[in-house]
Amino acid sequence: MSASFDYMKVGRWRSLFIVGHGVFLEMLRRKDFYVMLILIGLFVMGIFVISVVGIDNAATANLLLNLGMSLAWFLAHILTLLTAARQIPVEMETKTLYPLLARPLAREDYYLGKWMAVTISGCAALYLLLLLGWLPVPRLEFYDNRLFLQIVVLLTVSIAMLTALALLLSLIIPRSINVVFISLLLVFGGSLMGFFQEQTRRTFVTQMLKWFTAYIPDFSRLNLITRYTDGIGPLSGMEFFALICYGVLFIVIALFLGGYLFRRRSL
Amino acid sequence: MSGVGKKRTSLKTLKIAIIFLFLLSPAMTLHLRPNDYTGGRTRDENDRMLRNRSAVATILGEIRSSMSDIMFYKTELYLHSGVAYKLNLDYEALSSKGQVVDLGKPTANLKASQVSHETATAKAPEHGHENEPELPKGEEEIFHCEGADTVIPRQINDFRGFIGDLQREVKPWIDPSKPHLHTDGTELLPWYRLMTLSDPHYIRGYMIGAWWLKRQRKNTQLEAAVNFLKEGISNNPEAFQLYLMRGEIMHTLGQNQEAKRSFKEAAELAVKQRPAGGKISKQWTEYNEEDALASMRLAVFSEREFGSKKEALALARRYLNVLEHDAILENLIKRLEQK
Repeated sequence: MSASFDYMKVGRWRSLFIVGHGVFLEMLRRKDFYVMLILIGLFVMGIFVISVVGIDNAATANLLLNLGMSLAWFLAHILTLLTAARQIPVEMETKTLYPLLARPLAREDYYLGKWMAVTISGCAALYLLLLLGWLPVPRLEFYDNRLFLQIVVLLTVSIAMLTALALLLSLIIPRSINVVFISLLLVFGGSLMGFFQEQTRRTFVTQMLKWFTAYIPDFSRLNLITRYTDGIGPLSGMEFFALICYGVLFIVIALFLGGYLFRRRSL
Repeated sequence: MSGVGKKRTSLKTLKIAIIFLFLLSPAMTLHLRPNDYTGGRTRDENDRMLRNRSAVATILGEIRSSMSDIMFYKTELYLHSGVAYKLNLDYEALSSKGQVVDLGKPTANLKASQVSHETATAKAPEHGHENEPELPKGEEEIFHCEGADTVIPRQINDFRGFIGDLQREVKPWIDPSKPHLHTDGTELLPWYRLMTLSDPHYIRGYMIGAWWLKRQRKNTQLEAAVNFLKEGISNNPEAFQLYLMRGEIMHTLGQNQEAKRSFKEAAELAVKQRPAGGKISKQWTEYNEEDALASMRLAVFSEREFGSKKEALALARRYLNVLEHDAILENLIKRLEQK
């Protein structure tokens, strides 16, 4: 009994690996990743040229560091979004989904496998791009390394959250709308919601509206790059943990909803 | 209950618990604002001027890492009617005194090369009770004596030949040796509005925006400036400069009791924040020190004019104790003691 149970567990992990392996190969074969790498490569070349010419002052170096890290953040998230948004719709269009599900592979496992694979690919891209955006810039001022580590952790959660949301929405809306919508949420969502939350007056209706805006994922909360380059200190343990829980909660809810919708979807 | 049944029940319970947690999460998440802090290098005016005047910034054009920086660059363009100058305005002076002051050649220490220009009409308003002279009707632009360096170089300094000539014809451009024009600031107002919306902790944005509104001189604009500052104060309750500005505008509107209250709030906050001996540093600049002095003096003057002389004397003594030496407050104390 326990041997067969262990076999089932191994079988499940193997299924997830098979699904993930396909995602990794696809990401490497497509041009998106290499385009992002070229763009950040151009940035790195620019930094080397500027370093040779000479950086006037610490404020300029700070600007370059912020630009590099922000570029890495943006490119990694867009790459993850493009990868996640096409996973299920493309497999359904090309009908490669059915042979996979014909195996003893549960739909939830397939969905979870896709999420894990895209998240891991996105994180790998994020770490590489972040390193390329952070390392070459000369640091002429003090930057807190503890905050940098917090940034890496929170951006990992951000990538996972983005993947879960993109996969969920790929089951509901067309791919292009999914990409546009989440891109806008990624770039402007935080500012717009922050603006709305600041402007609400203290009436019951506006306070309820303010409450409901908190259900919209805010990626800017997990992006501490400007805080880092501004020379502000790291987050307290409680705040850091709360942010991780914030991201994890959205991930779990999106995965539950997505799994449920995918399970009930007629293919 | 069988093992599978138990597993299903516990999974169902877990799902319900997570959904419940998610529904209640705004109670925590609405207070989670890791990017809600004051200060920082992005908002430091000295750092802003250093990075915006660097060759890198010239190459990048309008690209910056923050929205408020991008809009700041836009205000420079709009101020100069679209002509791109190498950034040369002292924004600390503009936010503190409303003076449009040109800086000299860029150096690492900006204070060493400050050159001030008189406006065509009169001196810009100082802290105090002077009335601003009216601009002649139809005169919307303020002329400055000397030009400043443009991003597009002059023909004699341009190696690009006809391409440079084409750019000078197509883009807004004035020969930098000629006097350059500043607009009256009306077109800058939406940018300062957007700047403060994108960064509610950008105190200088509120101050400069309020100054430009104040320059319009009409009551509706002055009231708009007060509302703008009110928003700034609610987002930055510790920013004493905003209370100071509010007090000045209230005085211009004739609301002297409100002005007195604002000056006093500004003075109290300044006393709390001022380092011992008013030591100048990156966090406490010369303009901060001037604003703090102005707050304390105006708090005392307005108490004397519109409140009680006894209270004014007590305030003056208290502030003099903080400042250790101030000729204006010392004179005022002598006069109040004689009475």
